[in-house]
Amino acid sequence: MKLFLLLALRNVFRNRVRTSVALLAIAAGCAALIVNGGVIYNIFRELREDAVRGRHGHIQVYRRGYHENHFREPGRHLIPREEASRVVSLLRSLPHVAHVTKRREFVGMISRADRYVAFVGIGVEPEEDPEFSRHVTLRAGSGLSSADPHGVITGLGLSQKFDGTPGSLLTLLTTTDTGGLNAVDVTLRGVFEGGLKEYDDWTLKAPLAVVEDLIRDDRAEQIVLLLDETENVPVVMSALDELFRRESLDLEAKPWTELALFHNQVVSLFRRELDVIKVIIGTIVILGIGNTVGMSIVERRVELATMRALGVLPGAVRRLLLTEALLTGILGGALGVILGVAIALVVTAIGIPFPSPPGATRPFLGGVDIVPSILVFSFALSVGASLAAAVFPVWKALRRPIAEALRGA
Amino acid sequence: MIRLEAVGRAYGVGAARLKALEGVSLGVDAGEFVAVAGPSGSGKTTLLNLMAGIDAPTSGRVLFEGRDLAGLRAADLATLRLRRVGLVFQQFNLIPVLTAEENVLFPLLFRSDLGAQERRRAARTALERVGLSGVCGRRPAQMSGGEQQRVAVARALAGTPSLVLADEPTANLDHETGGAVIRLMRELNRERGTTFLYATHDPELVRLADRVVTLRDGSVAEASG
Repeated sequence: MKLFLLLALRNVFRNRVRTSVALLAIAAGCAALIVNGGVIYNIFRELREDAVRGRHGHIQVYRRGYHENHFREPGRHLIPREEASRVVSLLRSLPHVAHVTKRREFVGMISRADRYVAFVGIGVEPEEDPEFSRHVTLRAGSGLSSADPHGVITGLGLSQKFDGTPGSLLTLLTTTDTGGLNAVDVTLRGVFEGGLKEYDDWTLKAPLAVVEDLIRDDRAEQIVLLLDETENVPVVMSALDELFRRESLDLEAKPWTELALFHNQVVSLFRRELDVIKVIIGTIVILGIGNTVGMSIVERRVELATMRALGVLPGAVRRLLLTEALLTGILGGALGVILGVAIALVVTAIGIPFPSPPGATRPFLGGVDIVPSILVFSFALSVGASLAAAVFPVWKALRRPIAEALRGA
Repeated sequence: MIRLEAVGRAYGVGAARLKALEGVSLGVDAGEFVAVAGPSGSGKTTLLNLMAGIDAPTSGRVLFEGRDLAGLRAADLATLRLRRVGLVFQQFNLIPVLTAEENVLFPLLFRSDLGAQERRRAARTALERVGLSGVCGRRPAQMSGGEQQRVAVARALAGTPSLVLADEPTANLDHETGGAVIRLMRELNRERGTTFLYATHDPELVRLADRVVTLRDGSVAEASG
């Protein structure tokens, strides 16, 4: 077996120029997959962080039935203040939970001078909100402050609708839980950009206290959790199930993946694109090295026929040739992984200026993520493509009668 | 040991059909040292290929120790060659990336009846016997033509076959070296009782055989000895 492998390895390096070309073809394909996949995953990560640290948090907790019924019966599926405070305390004690905050959403009109502009409001806790808004960029003014209970911030698109700038005085109008109209005077403290145009065009954030005063209701709608790591979402989701059961809490939890629909659509689209790229690169690698493998086998037809004439079974000759292809794939794939990781590190250090993705508002400086699953897949594809490229020439070589192949015909 | 009964081999079809052998009947007994003589194109290589089971006759039968080769599956034919038949080629046909010892060892790797130690010992013994124990680590490109052919003879003999078929083993060697190779084969034939059939068109080398089968235009023109 040692001699068998040695023979395969020596055959791989028999024609060094040709082997170098084959290895480069495989390495280039492998590196292209790693870099392309790394760029896409970098975009995924940017979109994910926008969704998590700009809008949804990692997990949101609601009164059970909220999602199905809150449009029909907005007042029925809310969490009373005392219960919400108790739940927040319980949630803070869970492993991996870094931050917890309450929110209340509402809709209303902004009145400024003679303009009336509709908005979607979010009541937030000013002292907690910065942690939940790391991916929100302030374009003007400053963020919410517990020292300024009547200071609000709006998305850039919304501020443009009423021509607001930091310091602008606004009146917020909405309906209370009982159906009456109510209004409150506030000051625009800042203008933000959250990365999603639709969000920026409609969103106003206000301190929870002023929102509760405006809608005359102190019940919480959502309790939002931020974890230490996004990867821990499934673990915390299980812990929440257990907590709700143990404490007899009539609550439900939704992970960010079920809330960030825009993120999910983009990821789904790019994943499809990544699959197409994989097929294209795999085909290019197979075609690129197929000719090299074929040439190598044709040149050795007398040698291969000699082996068979000496009594070596066709299966063993096939194993030898496929082992050579396997070794070529392994070497090319390993080179490709090294090359891909090197390109990823250099490109990430420099940064790629990306325009804003479809539906988003901000360009960003991206990089190439080194994703272990992509490294493994690219390596496996290199090996698989190398083997696939050898299948036809090997089959053809072994079909030939020994006597005819020995004549070199 | 091996018998051919009215064997014919033709290539192509219709008007392009070419008869390489026709109606050849021949028997070779165990321990014989037989030369197959004849000019180029007379059918010597085809005859040896049929005897080795790497080609099949279009008519007649080839019997190896009483078994018709046509009745054997490809895998059985391969096993027969691996264990019972040694082959020596005109162009030596050594594997260029293997050393002399590895070349001799290579076919033995597929002998499940031999252990690793036995294989290595057999390869070294065969190389010693052909006088090449000093070049075990050299690759074919580092050896002379005569040395390469002796490695090929060692490869054919290492598995202790009962029949060795050598197709013009001296054609690419000078006269003196070619003679040395045939004399080596002759010694091995006497020492081990291995049956040898070698094709040649050199009259001096033909004379070293016990028996000469002369082919002309695909038929046996003369059998002597």
